[in-house]
Amino acid sequence: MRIKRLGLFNFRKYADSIFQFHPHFTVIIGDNASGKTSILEALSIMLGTYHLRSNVGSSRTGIQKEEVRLEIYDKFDQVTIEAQSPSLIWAIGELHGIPLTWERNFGDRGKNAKEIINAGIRDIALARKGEDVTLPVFQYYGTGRLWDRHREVPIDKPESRLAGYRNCFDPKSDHHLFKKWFKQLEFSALQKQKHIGALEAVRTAAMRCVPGAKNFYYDVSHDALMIVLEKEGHCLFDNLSDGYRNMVAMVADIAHRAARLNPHLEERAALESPGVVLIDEIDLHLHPKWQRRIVGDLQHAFPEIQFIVTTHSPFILQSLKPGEVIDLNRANSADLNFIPDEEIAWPGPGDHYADRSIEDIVEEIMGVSVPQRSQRYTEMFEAAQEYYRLLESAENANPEEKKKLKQRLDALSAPFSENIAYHAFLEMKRIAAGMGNDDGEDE
Amino acid sequence: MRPVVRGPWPKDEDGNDINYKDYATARAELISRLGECCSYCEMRLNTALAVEHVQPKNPKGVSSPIRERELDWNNFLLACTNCNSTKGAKDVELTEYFWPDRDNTFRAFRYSEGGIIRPSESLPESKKKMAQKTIELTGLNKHPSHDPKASDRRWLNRGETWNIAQESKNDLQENDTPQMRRQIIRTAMGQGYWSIWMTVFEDDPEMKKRLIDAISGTAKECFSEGNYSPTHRLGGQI
Repeated sequence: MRIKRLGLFNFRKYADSIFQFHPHFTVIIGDNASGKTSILEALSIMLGTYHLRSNVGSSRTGIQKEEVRLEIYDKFDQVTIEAQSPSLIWAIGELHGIPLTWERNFGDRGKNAKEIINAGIRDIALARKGEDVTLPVFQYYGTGRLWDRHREVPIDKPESRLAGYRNCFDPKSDHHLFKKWFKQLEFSALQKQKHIGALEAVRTAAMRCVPGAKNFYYDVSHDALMIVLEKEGHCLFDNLSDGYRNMVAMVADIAHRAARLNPHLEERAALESPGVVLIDEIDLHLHPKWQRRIVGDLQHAFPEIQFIVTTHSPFILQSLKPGEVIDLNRANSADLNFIPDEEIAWPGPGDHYADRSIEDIVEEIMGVSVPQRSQRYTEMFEAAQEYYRLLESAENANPEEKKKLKQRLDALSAPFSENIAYHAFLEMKRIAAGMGNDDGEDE
Repeated sequence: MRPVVRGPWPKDEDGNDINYKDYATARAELISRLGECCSYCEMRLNTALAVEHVQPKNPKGVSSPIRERELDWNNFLLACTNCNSTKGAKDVELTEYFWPDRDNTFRAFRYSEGGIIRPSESLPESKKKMAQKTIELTGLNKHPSHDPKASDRRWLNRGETWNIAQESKNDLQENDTPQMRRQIIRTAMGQGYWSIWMTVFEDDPEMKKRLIDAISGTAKECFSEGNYSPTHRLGGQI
């Protein structure tokens, strides 16, 4: 399951916009109130359409009344608010390898989404008959995931596979629910003295995301989830720091849902289950060290799942490959001409950040000025302007002046250049000429 | 701008023209024919390299891609993000611009200190206008004096390359050996901006020959025997 493109028309703040997603990982950035969460909400409506006729308790129906875009008019001294029509969302994607296009309108019951609804009815009916159909994992983690927990659902009897969809589109869904399930399977494995594939899938996925983890298990004598680390030894899972614990819990939760939905995949459930997972503010409570890893870790643990996440963190951006960013501060357009056909996120910078400094990312991509750097950058730019004006006015300008301006530009542009070796060489020459000083104050 | 030869439509195993279903699949073949650099600004490219459509596949005002443009080998070049996005979906009349796969584009432009690109002085007025239009099409004239954008770093890279090429020329004067010449070519290939190197070494036919041979796809017929000066390209506008 993948979503390739999403179109929003009169939905929340969007009048008419199109977005394209990377097949594996898309990170959405943008200022507060730029509409990041709206995209995740729209995606959950489109994904939830798969469940529209099957009662699985995934808790997302269609476009809600308060999601219809409002236009405020101020005319003839009267302010009026008008709901815009039609309010609709469309998506292009793929399910079980078959391309799909579907649309949801405000107030509809899925009349323009028959294919995906029927696919959902068919898959879920097969699952209920006990067939080995592979179900896509859907999950939406909103920012409320850390404090606004659902009451825990008691698990005291064997449940339907489809419990793997319970509350999956509720942004407040509690990702610690996997614990009870995990405990129960651990007991079951002990009692029957058998290896349970689903349990191993979750254990492996969680351990993949923790460097140096040697085991992840339910300790019967302490009645607690336990993680064994290379250096620290045994740790109670609940005693880990908030950010860390939540990251591991999220990974374990996705894996447990994959294992529940697709029991026939056994220990390969995390590796082979397809699906789409939405995470609002993926960096929430995570130390920068973990922020740098999480994108890679999630892809490694769930190679078939498409992740679409939002962030405010330059550390997350720095860890991405080209084509994985949607930047909402960039001009969007509903004109399909401008959307690249390559499988990359759009609208986005398309570049890669791996070799850019955090300062570069913060300033150039997230649009926050870093005072010390900005000052240098402005100086460099002024020097460049002077130099290029002179070069443009006459090719054979005063050689002395030209040389002076060039040296000033060389010195000031060093921190902004990609050619580190060349600037090291220039600096060496400046030192040899007795004017070594990388601030360019060579007078 | 380096004049290039794209070569005939690639064949499949049975000797038939490859029927491209997705133009992105032509990328590897284009790189092997044209070298790993942008066909317009000559920046050396690694990942952010795209298959460029000379005539846009989705020109403005057209609702779905024009298939014969989208999948036409003879409409393909390679372009960097900056050239690609500046050129965009603007529909182009081919005769109004110079093109590296048709014209001797090395004759159309003059490269100078700072990596500044201007229409060649020796051109008649009408051709100068064409050259200027070509420069503007991909934004080769963007630099800080009138376009203060941080994301477009082509000017900075060209300026640096000009300086490195000059340093290399000085080194060669002090120590003119075949080893030094080979090393300079290696630097030039790593650095990119072939036209800048050709300009800095314009008085050295032996270096020009090395530069012409060092990168695949250079249109050799655009340069005279012996002196390697740019000449009129057969079938081109210059």
